[in-house]
Amino acid sequence: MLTKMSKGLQITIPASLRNELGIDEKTLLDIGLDRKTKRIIIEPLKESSFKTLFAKWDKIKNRTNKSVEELQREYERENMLH
Amino acid sequence: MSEKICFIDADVFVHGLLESDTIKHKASRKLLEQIEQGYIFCITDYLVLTETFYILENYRGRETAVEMIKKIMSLYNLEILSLDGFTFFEGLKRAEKYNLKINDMMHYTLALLKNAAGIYSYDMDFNGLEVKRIEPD
Repeated sequence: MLTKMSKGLQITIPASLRNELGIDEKTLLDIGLDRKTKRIIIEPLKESSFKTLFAKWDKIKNRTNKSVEELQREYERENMLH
Repeated sequence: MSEKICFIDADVFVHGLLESDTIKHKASRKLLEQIEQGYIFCITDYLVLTETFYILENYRGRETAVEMIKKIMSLYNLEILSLDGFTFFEGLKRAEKYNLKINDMMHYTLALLKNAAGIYSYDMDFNGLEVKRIEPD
């Protein structure tokens, strides 16, 4: 599909593509450049539902026994917020 | 409270995403799911996400932490605010009045400027302020 940038340097993603991908004006888009092929790559940041992700994440073991509060204090120390 | 905008602090995201404290985990996870399902609209800021990332990375590694933060960023009903010069200056003006750590001061200022009805947080430092601290239930 051929499109042209507007005066404000914006482009419209055609409705057919939006519908196929299930994206709308609220969808975050990750825009990058493939320097080899000189193509602009637009990737919708569409994540699975929490339900699906929680099922996956809950299987991952914790790497530390520290409490959330301990890590918060560590973060503050590292970033000199105290 | 649900019809008004509330600010979300890092500990609520962390407790929602991993189980370190069962009660906080259940309540925070429910809150995240309510945002995802569009029942409530919340705000947060990128400083909160930085802190959240740090803690998540320690618990679950960088790859999972990235995935978790991306999921948070993709939530339609969560507005993530940037800390600009105006907000920073407003925060600085309040820094002497409030006994908050500088990042918390900025979170609080953003919540105040956005007329937030509350701050979802387990951090008692937010107690007794004009924008009241609330815990997910």
